[in-house]
Amino acid sequence: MELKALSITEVSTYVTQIFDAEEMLHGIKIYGEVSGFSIVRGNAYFSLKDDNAILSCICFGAERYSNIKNGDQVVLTGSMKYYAKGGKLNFYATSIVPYGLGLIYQQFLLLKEKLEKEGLFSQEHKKPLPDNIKTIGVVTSKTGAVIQDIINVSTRRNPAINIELYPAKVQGDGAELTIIDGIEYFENRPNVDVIIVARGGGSYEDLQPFNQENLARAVFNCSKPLVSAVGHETDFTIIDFVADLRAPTPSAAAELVTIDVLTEFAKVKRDKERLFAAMQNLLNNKLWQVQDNSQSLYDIVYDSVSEKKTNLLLSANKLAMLSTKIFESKENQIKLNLTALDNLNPAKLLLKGYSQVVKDGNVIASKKQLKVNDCVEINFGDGKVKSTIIEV
Amino acid sequence: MTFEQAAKRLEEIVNELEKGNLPLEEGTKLFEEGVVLVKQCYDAVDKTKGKITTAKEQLDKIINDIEGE
Repeated sequence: MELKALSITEVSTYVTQIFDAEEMLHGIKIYGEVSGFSIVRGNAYFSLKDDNAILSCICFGAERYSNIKNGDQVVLTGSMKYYAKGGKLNFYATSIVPYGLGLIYQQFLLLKEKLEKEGLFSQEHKKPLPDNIKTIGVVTSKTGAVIQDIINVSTRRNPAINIELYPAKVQGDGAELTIIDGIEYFENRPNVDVIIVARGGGSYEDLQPFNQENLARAVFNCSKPLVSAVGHETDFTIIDFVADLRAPTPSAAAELVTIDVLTEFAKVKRDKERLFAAMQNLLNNKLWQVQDNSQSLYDIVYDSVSEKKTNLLLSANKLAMLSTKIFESKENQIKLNLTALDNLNPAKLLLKGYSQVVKDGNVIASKKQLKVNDCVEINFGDGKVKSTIIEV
Repeated sequence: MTFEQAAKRLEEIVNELEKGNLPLEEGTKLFEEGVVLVKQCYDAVDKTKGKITTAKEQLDKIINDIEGE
């Protein structure tokens, strides 16, 4: 029997229906490497390939995928469909998501955004480090440099510090669960004052346990202050944002939670010496001041007394001089008076040749007081005579 | 008062005292406060060596203690 020849449309319709009916190829995810990527009129046309096969892909409304480049590993969600008009089997993608490292990074960003919105990174939830940290709980691998660095730095600064290690897995599947166990263990240890969650540098994949949501929430809900120290200085994992404090390295974490007691104590010893010296100086100064003041006081009083003494002497001299002058002047005065008085002495006058006429005991100074026959006495310097007036 | 607080206050006191122009009574009071702080600092520095243990040791110890009862 001859086979009937089918038209292209018929064959193509049939192929289309086969693929339309195949549920297994609808709403699936596929992954591969992008090549020949271009966006034309808002739609993306590219191929997705792996080592052995290649698939043609179309994504409508793909403006948001302009950052996709050839060579990217991506995961597409969509369906296989036969495009009869073009004679091609295409994968029609409704979403393109970076795969592998890119995918992990995307998930990191999404989780970071989600937790930040919930407030897990907020400063108001961060606990301060307590004073007087005596015991540190460290969640990290029991092998490797991290725990050694933390021990070395801590004990160098404060020999009395206690360190408890909870050995955990710090990479690989399920590592975050061991870390969560470690945090809970230290939460229940009453003597532990602060918790450090640490791991050393590593690849991006190695650090992934510290980006897990369950660990992030365990860090957030931790009842004790928690310091995260994961990877290198430039690595930031989710728990770095959630923790109460983030240290760039494990050694830095050890420095954060310990006081450099030896250095601080050496300073206290120096300050003690300064204290005693300062007090000694203060006392000495006060003493000098008192001495100075008493010397000054003495000087002042001495000077004052001297001055008064001098003034007194000067005054005494002045007084003496004045007294002498006054005395002399008075003496002179008296002498003059005596001389004057002497000159006025009637007896002297009588000696000079004058005589005094006395009648009835009265001195006669005028002839009018006399009449003829009056009896008068005439006093001479050497005696008196009686006489009678014969003519006036 | 923690060691750090005591050490800090001590430094403040020493700086104040070293200025040298305090009245005697105030200076003496500060000095006395300083001496007390020095003693506190000395006491606070625990010269004993700290202990480093792992969780397993602690758990073992707890188990031993329980089994011992």
